[in-house]
Amino acid sequence: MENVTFLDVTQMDGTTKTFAIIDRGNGEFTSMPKADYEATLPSESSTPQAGK
Amino acid sequence: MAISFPSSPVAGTSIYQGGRQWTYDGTTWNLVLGGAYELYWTHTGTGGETTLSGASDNGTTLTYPLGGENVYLNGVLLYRGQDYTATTGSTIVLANPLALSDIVTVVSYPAVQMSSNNIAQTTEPTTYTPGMVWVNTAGNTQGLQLVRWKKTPNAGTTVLSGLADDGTTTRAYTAGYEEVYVNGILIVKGVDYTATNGTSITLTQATVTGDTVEVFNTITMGVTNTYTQSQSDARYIPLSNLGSSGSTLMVNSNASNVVWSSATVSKNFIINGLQEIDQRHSGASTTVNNALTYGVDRWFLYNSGATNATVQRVAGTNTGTQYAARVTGTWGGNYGSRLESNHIAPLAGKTVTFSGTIWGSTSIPTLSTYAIYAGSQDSYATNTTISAASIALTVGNTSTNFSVTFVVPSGAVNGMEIGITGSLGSGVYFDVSNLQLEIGSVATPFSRSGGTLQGELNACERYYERSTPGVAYGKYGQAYYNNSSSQVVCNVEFKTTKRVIPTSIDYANLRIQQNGIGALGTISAVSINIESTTKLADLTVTIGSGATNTLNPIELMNDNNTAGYLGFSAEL
Repeated sequence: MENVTFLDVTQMDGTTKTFAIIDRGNGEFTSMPKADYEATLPSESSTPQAGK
Repeated sequence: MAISFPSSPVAGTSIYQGGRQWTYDGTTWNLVLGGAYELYWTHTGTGGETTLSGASDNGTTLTYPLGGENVYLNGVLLYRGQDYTATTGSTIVLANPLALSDIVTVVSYPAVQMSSNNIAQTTEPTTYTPGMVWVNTAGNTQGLQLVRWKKTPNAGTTVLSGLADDGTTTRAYTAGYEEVYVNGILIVKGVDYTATNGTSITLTQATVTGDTVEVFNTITMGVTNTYTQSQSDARYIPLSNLGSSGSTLMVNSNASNVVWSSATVSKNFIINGLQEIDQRHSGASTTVNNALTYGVDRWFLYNSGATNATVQRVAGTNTGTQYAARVTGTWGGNYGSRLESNHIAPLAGKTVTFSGTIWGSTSIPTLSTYAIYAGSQDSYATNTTISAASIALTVGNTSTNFSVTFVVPSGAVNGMEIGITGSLGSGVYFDVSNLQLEIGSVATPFSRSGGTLQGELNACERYYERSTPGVAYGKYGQAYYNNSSSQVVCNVEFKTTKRVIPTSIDYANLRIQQNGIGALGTISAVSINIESTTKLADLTVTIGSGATNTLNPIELMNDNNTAGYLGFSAEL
């Protein structure tokens, strides 16, 4: 089961950027900017399907 | 007709007489080529002679193919076997002696000469001389053949057909090419007889007792291994259709022809078409629900429902390849690859062919190919379907090669997504491999986009790169104290320049270690900083605490196991 936490990381220019840390539940993690993570929700449904 | 040969020829001299070509080889004159012709031999009677042979009135020597002679006495055709006998090919014996000044004419049709001087033979000559034509004569007898049908019909007969008096020759002719003689007199077509169906001849006047009828017909000369003009044209490339400069001739077995192709090495615009590079999963199955999830490199599975579809790299036993990708239902969506705009821009406006090999765990009638192109550069938020790229696939327990040829719209410069779309029931799966997209209308044998295995890996790493040291405490890069006991900064150089600066990182089993101190807490997050480039990742690693501002080196490394990895994604 995936578990997502958000983490603010201060960048070298002093700004703060929020990251999504996705815990895959098996010791594996994925990290990406929160905005990128949110772009995957809902998933990309723009690709066509057969018969549609 | 006597042949007048030059008295002092030189080797190679050719003359044409009587429709035939003769060539002097330095020693003798050889008949090189001769067309169909009639040979006339005439003799003026001296009175009393019955045997005709030798020189004619004008010097021609009597010769004829047996059965191929017509003998006329004062213009009237004589009846073979009755009025004369001709059994030697050089002598004719008349039944009745000639009277003084009778004119005998023998018309014969010698066999057409296609052979002599190594021109026509069963074995192709090993050397040629200018002007030589080789005709393979293996097989049938050649020559212009005159078929004689001779019959003494019953009185009152008007329709002539069936076997001749010899009991073997069947009445057959080519309408318009027959000659009909009654008692040696050539009768007129359309007046004295009709002949239209090729098998029977109808006389205007019925025969009377003792009439003899002869019908002559020439049949097509038989030369083996010849071709009609259209067949011959099909075997040659006309100068008007030589293809574009640098193109190569390619067999198109689907259309039973050959086409010009500009296909070149590295022709495949699809990366990892063999489904062999699997940096993320190393052959493990991945479950896909309501998301676009990458399986093997560059290939994603999109599943429109929360149905636990899976995608996995498997051995290519079913597709005849080393590897294949296996998609297992329940699934509905796409299995595709997004081709970068800069990569596929050369395809815009061109005819391309998408091909691959597919196999199904059972008959699957719900799969087809598809292609779309992006609405803006490398973004598929809006897109356009290329309808011509869609064909239904035949998928079953037999490995099947498929291909679809279509024109890429000229506006398709922002990137293209291509693959297989459809649905699968629970537990039903298909294997696919050999995926290739190339310029041209023919699906050619598969080749890697990257040329070699290493080239293919490097091509994949432009979009996703994973470091897997494979050893406990294997190192990724140097880290630095970041004015915080809970954060360090680490630089990791990419092996391959990325398409864009990666924003997504995946990792497992990592630690931050400082010499003299040991592991610094537990990593809670790894994030990529804005200072990163397409060549180097600048990471912030968040730990519980413990980082100290000493001169002791800090490093990002595997934990105490071999399964650690650090991956960077610049995927589309």
